[in-house]
Amino acid sequence: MRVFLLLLFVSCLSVLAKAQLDFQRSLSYSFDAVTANPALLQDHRVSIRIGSSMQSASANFELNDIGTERDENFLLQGSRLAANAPETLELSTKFDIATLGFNIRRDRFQFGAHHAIRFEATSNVNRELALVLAQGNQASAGEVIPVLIEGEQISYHEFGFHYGIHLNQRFAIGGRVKVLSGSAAAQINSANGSIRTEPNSFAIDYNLSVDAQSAGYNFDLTDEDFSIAIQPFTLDKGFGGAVDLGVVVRPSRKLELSLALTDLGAIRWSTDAKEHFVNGEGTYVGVIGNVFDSTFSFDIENSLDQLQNQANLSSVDQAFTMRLSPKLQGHLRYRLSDATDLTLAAQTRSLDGIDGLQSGASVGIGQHFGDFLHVGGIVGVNQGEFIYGGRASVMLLGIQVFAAADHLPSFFNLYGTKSAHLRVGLSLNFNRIELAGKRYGWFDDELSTGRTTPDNYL
Amino acid sequence: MLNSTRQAILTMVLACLMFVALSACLNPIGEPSVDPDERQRWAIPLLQTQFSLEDALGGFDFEGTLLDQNGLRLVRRDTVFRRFPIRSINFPGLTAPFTDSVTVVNLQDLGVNLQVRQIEFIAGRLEWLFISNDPEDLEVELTLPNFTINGDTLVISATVPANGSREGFIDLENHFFDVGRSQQIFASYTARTPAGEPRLLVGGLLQIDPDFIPRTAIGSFDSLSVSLGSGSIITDFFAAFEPNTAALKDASVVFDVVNQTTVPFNLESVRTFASLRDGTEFDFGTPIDDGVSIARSPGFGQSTQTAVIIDDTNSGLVSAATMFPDSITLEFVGVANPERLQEEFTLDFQEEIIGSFVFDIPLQVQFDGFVIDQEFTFGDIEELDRVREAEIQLSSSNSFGLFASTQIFILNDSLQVIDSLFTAPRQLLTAGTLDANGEVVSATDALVSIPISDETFDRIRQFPNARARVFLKTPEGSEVFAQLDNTNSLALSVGLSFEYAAE
Repeated sequence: MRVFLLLLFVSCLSVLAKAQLDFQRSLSYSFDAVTANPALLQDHRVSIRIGSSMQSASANFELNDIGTERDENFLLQGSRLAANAPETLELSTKFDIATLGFNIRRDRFQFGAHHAIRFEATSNVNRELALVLAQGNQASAGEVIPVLIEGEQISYHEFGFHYGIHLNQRFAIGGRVKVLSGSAAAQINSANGSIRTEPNSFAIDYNLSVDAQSAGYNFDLTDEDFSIAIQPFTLDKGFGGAVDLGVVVRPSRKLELSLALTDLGAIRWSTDAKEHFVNGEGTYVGVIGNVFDSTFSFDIENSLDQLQNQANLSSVDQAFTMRLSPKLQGHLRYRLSDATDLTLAAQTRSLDGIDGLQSGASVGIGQHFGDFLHVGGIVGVNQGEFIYGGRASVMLLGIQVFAAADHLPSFFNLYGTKSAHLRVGLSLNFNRIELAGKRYGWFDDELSTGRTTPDNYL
Repeated sequence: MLNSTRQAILTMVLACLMFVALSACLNPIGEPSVDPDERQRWAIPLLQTQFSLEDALGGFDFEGTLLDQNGLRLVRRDTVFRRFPIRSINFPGLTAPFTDSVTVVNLQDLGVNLQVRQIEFIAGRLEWLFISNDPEDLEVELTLPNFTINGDTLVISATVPANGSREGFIDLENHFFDVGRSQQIFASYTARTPAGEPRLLVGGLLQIDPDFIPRTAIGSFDSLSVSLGSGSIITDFFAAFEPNTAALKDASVVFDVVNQTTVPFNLESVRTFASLRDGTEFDFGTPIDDGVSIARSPGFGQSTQTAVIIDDTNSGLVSAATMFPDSITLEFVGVANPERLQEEFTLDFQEEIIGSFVFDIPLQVQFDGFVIDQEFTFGDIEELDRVREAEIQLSSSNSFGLFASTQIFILNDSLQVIDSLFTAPRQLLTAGTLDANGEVVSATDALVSIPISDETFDRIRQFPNARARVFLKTPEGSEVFAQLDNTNSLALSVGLSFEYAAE
């Protein structure tokens, strides 16, 4: 159990290490805008995404609260965790690597396809248990440590096929069908109980009830080795499907509302899928026996095996279905001028593995200088934290590089923020759509193109 | 066009550089790990054991371990000898020359003291020889009034050839031989030619085969010496002790002699010695050296028991025991009717005299050399290579009046000692509190932490086989002998705390 919890926690931290904090649901210009809302029609007749990466994470604590930086590596420190961490450590991470994608724009409609590898994880761990994981159990010997953990993780390949159309000058809709091929997943269905280490004998009192599922981890509680091996590029651990739906409405010449409901679907995990149980109550005292019995034998390895058996650790092959975390995004955009607009954005995400929703909102202003340069900034609130960020894209001859960050302080003081976000990407765009001559900015006669708001659709 | 191309190439290069630069920001917190300075320490239980001294000694499996309510005693009973005294009666070879037709042999005149008056034989032979120099064959008839069967006098008839001799024997089964108090053997014979003419023999001989088996014997048995033989007692139960490291309080040896005969005996020792571990012999002496009177049985089918107490006041045996010898050897002889009483006694062939050696050690001991070995393995766990600054923690509740120390030896694949965990045996357990009588009045709870260096732990990983050696000793400097009781127990929990280095 200890190893399992440790791995769960460290896996979240390792994701944090690679992805930082994320709340932002910002979307890149051109292709990534379509990925977020298939009803957003592109400005170019052909858009090819070469690649993009989005990493984000958010937590209800700062990294400084639980550790420090040394030699550019994060070091978890139990002393800081004990002093600063909230009662429950909440952590959410996302990591997307998008590879090739294309979009073809034809008059009033567009279609295309893309591939991406997506990783999402959320976990809640009570502070006392996190302390045990950080400091070891000897420091808390004598104390009853509650075990209250929640969490889920999912990583999969996404093959999406989208279609969008202008129904009229005020209304556009779009949709995407996604074929999902799973790499790994894990979720804790329920976990509660307590552990206590007796200070003199180190006997471990435990009362645990844990039900969890995993696939693609090669993880089995009945194995002696609790190691976890994630293979992020495998495609065969589970299969599923999902749809994204989008709509864009322009009620007036200066106002545009876009809504997207994405990741409505699930994955059926059937390969290397297991359900894990820890269900026991008792005291583990090590090997019990009379040392003067000629048949007595002692072996540390056997001692640990006994703990495994005594705590009723078990894993059984069991296929399971895990739904994606549906996301609802809304953008209300107001046109200040042809090159400047103001956007109010909001997003919420329903999490399956933990209770509640993750929500955020922001206000942004953007300015574009033709297609060559788009810049902008946002201020907002995410999970109760004030954020501010910026974004920019540069495009020459259809070659566009873009970057966006929803919380700029995380770039300068990552250890002092509760969230971070970074999206970078490279795409090729050909054949700019020109309506009634070469025009940039708002098109009075077409929805969604030429938007410059920095907090969402570049 | 050229400018456009250059601009496009430049833009692509810049774009790629920017993409690479931004991507480089994707791993800003490096490899997360636990701060090693935070000294993350884990604690796991390894072993919980509870045992009594009975458990600890159970492996020796020596006969006669007795537990009583008053304490724990080690009692070893060995039979040193088991003899039928009647078998010690023997006759010297008697030659009775027939110089006349009537011959009376007075045994005392021959210097023979038969010590018995009458014997009934289960088996035996009376051998005879007649010699003649007569030119004719002679018919000889020998009458032996000392030998009877069913009340009839034994008569031997034989034909002796002319100028020759004749020999033969009589089966003495169920015969009685009675020499009377006068210790005289009577023999009369007649020798006649075939024509009936009386003749004299040149001579003749009679002899009882010494391999006879008596059924009963009656006599004074005056100073009859009965060899009780030599018995060696293998003191394997001392194997756990080291010589000269222990003192046994009130240890004693009781020599029990059971006499089933109605004859009084005197027990005398020939030699008593202990074979020490160094190969030498230690003569310890006993009160039996000067002779000990063994009471007679009041009647047939009954017995008496005579106990000879051997302790440190009258023998060096207890001192010898303190040296924990390999064996103890005792050789005894019994002398019947040592007072030379004139009365007659009867010995039956079923009557024995039995000597038993009872080694009684009340476990009130004062020692520091009680050693117990136990081999085990730390196991072969790959993860152990990240264990650092390990510390063994022992939590004990000790109701023995003994301290315990331990040493853990690291063994190679051939189970030979190559290293030890501690530079000297570590005291782990504190003795229970003793009163003036050496009885434990309260158990002692103790907590001991034993650090193990990283170097030693690395060695353990390399050679996981180990042997734990536990040394028990009475409190140092104490004059009190610890009274051991079968209710004494030791509860011991062993835990391991360690730092687990992150990868």
